[in-house]
Amino acid sequence: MRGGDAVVHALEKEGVRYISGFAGGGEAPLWPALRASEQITVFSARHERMGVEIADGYARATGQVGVALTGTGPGATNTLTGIAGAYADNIPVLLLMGQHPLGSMGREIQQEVPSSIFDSFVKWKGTMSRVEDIPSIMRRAFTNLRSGSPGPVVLEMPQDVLMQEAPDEILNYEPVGPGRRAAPDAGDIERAADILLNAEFPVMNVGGGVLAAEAWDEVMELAELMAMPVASTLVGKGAFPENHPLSVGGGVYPKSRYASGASYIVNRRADAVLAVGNSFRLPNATDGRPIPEGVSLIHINADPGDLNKIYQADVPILADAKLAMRSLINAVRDRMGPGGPPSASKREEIVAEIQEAKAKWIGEWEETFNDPSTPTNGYRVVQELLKVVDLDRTIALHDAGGSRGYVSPFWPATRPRNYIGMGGMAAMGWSMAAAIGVKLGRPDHLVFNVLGDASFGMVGMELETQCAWACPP
Amino acid sequence: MGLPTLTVVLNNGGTGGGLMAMSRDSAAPPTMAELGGNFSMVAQGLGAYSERVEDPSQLQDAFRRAIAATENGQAALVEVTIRPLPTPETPEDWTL
Repeated sequence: MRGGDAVVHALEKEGVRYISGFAGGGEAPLWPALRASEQITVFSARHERMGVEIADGYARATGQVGVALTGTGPGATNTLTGIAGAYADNIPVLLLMGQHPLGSMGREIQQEVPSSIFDSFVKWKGTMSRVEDIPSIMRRAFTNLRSGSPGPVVLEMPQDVLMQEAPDEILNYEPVGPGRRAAPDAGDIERAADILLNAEFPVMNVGGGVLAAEAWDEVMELAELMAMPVASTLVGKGAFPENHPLSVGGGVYPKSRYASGASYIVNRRADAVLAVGNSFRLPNATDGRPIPEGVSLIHINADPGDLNKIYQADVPILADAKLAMRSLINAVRDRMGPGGPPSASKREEIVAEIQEAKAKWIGEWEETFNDPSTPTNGYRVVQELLKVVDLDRTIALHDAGGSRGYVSPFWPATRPRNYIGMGGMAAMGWSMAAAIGVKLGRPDHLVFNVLGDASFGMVGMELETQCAWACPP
Repeated sequence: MGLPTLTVVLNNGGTGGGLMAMSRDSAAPPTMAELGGNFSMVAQGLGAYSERVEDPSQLQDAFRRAIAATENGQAALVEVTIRPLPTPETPEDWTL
């Protein structure tokens, strides 16, 4: 088997179905195996960045690894924006990067770009410097992609290594399978449960870590158990259904961008905050203001780099969101005692306040939503679209700039992953390619993206990628 | 397999933030903030179904036709001419 065949063999074993990108230098040894593959479909985007962002959208919509492909040189530098976006929002994207032969590297020949350009924006990076190392590099790549806090991985593939032969038994590949998850420290969970049960008004914040860990059932269970209002970050939007009576929509504690009116009302009453999978990235997951005295913070995150970052938590919990929430629910139930859950009247009082705040807030926007003047405004455009779709069968994406404000506070995400809330990098035009990846992974849904003309001007040719696959001649 | 999605382009003739701030001396000049283009025509050139909407009362029908196009396997784009408005920012002292 040749090195290029071994890479494709490993991708197949890990269940990869799609690779998006653009053909370029160094990757040619992959083509024979990719052309022969009955499992993997390779298709071209109109720009290498878009290839990565298609993989990004696929990963966000499915929870699976998205795979992109580029050659070296300008192709590789073009992907940097896409990789930076995946890194900022903790999205598992694998970029396969073609490279010059090992002996040519460092000689400043035409289109030489080292993979070190990605160093600040990857969870892990590997270079295939020996053909017999390919299985271990692929194993490490998929372990990093699927375990712990997600993030992008770049694999640099020198062309000569991909062309070398090695015995099949050396290049054979056993998949790593599902990701490995870290369980919480039992003492941390006990302290967290005590704080929540002693609080007068505990609230829950959910971020992208809830979506990554698929912990939405646990979020729902604890919210219902304790009658806790739930707010989401921009990236975590949809982790808790926004048509649920306890949802306050966007706008996490203490305050973050794209906040709903209900979150304004609820956040200021909190004396305990349970932040789950929130990286507290500014400004969409906090505006950075201090947490006041008397308010306790419990912070669950799978990345130690996110704990005690913006805020020193009273109880920082390093763990997978799903495992931590299950342990916390069990601890809360054990401690509830004869008083049991909050009384029905207390729950009704909380729900009534949320609903009153939502109604007042939306009411203040009605004039804008119904403004008959021409030209119209972006808020009205989104509201008119909202009237003609089936929310449970629709996946929404915003873009950078004004479109985030027009869409994200007001589009009710009723199911997990039915809203794809990009946040950390906000590259103009991201949604154009990401929507293609979302449709690839969830073809039975209407997928729409809203972007401005300046963003479309940067990436609009990606419409042709859809048409190459789908449109009648 | 098809990949038809609905693209909604909000066309305010430039960068919204730039256009709204242009009267300030410290903001980007018109040469940076004002941009052009009829993107529904571009979309047709790429093989997509497209419409350009200027009257907001026509939006729902335009969206229905575009969604129907996606259901028939064709990518769709609806371009809407808008004026930019600021990102929502509820006052700190907002109360019930």
